Amino acid sequence: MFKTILSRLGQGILVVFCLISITFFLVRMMPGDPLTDEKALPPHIIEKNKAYYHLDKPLPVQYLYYFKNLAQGDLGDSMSKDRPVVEIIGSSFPVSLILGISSMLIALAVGIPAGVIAALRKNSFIDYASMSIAMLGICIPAFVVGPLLAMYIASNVSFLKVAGWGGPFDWILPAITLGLTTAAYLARITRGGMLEVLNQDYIRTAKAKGLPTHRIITRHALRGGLIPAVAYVGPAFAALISGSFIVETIFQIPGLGQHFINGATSRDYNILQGVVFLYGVIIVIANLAADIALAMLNPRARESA
Amino acid sequence: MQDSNEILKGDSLWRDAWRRLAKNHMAMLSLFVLIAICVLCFIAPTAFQLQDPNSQNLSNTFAAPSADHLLGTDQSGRDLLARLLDGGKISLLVGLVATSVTLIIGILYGSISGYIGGRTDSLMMRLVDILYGLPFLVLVILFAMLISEYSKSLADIMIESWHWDVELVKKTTNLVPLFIAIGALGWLTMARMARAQVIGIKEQEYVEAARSLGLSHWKILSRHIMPNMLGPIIVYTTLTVPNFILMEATLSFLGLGVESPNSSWGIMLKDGANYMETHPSLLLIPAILFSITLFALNFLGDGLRDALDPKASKD
Repeated sequence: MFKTILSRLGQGILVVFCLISITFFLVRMMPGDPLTDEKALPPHIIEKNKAYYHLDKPLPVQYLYYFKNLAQGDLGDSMSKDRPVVEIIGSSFPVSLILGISSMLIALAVGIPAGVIAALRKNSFIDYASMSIAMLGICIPAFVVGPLLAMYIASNVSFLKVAGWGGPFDWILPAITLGLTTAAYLARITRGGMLEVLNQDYIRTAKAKGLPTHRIITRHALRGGLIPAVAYVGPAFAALISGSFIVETIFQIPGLGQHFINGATSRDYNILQGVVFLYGVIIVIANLAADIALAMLNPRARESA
Repeated sequence: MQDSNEILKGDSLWRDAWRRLAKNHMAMLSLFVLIAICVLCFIAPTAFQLQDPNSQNLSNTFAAPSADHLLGTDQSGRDLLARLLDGGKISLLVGLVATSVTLIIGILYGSISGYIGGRTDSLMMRLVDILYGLPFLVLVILFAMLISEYSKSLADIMIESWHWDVELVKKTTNLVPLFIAIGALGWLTMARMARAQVIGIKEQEYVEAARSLGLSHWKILSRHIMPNMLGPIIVYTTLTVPNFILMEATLSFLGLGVESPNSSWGIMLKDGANYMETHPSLLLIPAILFSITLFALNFLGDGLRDALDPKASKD
């Protein structure tokens, strides 16, 4: 197991390297460039700026420059904000991390119990009710839920604010907005996975042995039933902590999501590459964690994790 | 189990499933609702000569429902019903195309990776990791640029040789980059889920039995493993459809999907959210139709899941 994890981490470094390389060339294939501004600058200043970002050199040389700086922990300067990318990410990532973790906790705490209970009471009122609520959670997008929460809850509860990012109380509404969809997905996926398992012979055997229901669920059914949910949680968690443009805009949160969008629209190569680099690291870790969890849940998959 | 059924009754898995599905009232009602919504969106506007969904009337904004405008008008005085049905075309198309791509690529890729295992599996899954990390928006911009050169000639072919509806072609060719970008990245989670299922199933006794009978790998995968992993896959599929439809709204918001003044359910929800306090019906009406569609899809998916579960038939 330990060896597998080590080799996966090695593969992870390779994945991030490939990701950065592909992104490097992809962003430069986009039409337009980062230094063309609305206000026409004199040509010699544009030339000077180009030289500063090495954009006047051929692509392979730019590429080598980028990795030389990356090796020294320097992600370059943002071309639209005139600040080092490391500094921009360093100030916005903690925000996205907190928001991502708290919304994932909400999603897990709501989604998994709801899914398990719905599966156990299949086709009962509880099943229909919780799955309908989950379906609503999936149908109603964040740009509706966010303003609704801000309008009706923030204005009635004194310690909750409509927007901003000060203390822990400000985390609540954005985390609910962001976590709601994930919770709904988890509930549906957990229900599906549990239903699959509850029909298996080994559950029948456990019942026939006379095990109490809660033991059957915790010791036998959950292990197999949670496999689809765990496979979903890995990438979902990575997506949650990499920030959400919509939730950040609604609640005016200084997170990472805005840089994805702004970097792409203003062709800010360095910001985009920096954010993708971080996102790649998160993806690798999250998927590795999900695979380890899968291997622990499914002994048959242990050697192939 | 289902193989012995096949020999005894000469029934395929699908015909068997269809018979069970037909007995599920909720699923059949949902199927009917879905067909009705498709008919409404694709056929009704031309059949009943509804108003032009894009014609504005700035002296008649936020009108209440009347004989002229059955559901009232929006912030630019456009007929809400016409826009709702017209937008449904785009949203249903996005959902259908993106989901088909996701299903085909995701299931094939994930199950092959999980079935082969070992180094090939590692390599295939690391490729998925790389694709996960690519910035979605950059890809859409790139595809839009690359495709705009080809899509014009493609549109001409569709209109002249295949006699497709000119308006629909114009609208859909704008969406091609979106379809490709969603298709290119949407299958990744599906592939991971399919792989996880296959790894759980491939060591089961019935797969071993099939292997010892000397069946080819493809037969084992398609006849014995895939039918048994369909349950969670179908459930996840019904969940991805709303995701794709809403993704279109986000991209259109950034100027990369449906071009204004054309509508889609996602765009109507987004516009409606701006007038939530003063004119809630602008948000509620598209939200209700959207929800009905997804609920129906969802119940149909659950019905399919039950119908395809070979073990459930014993109960």
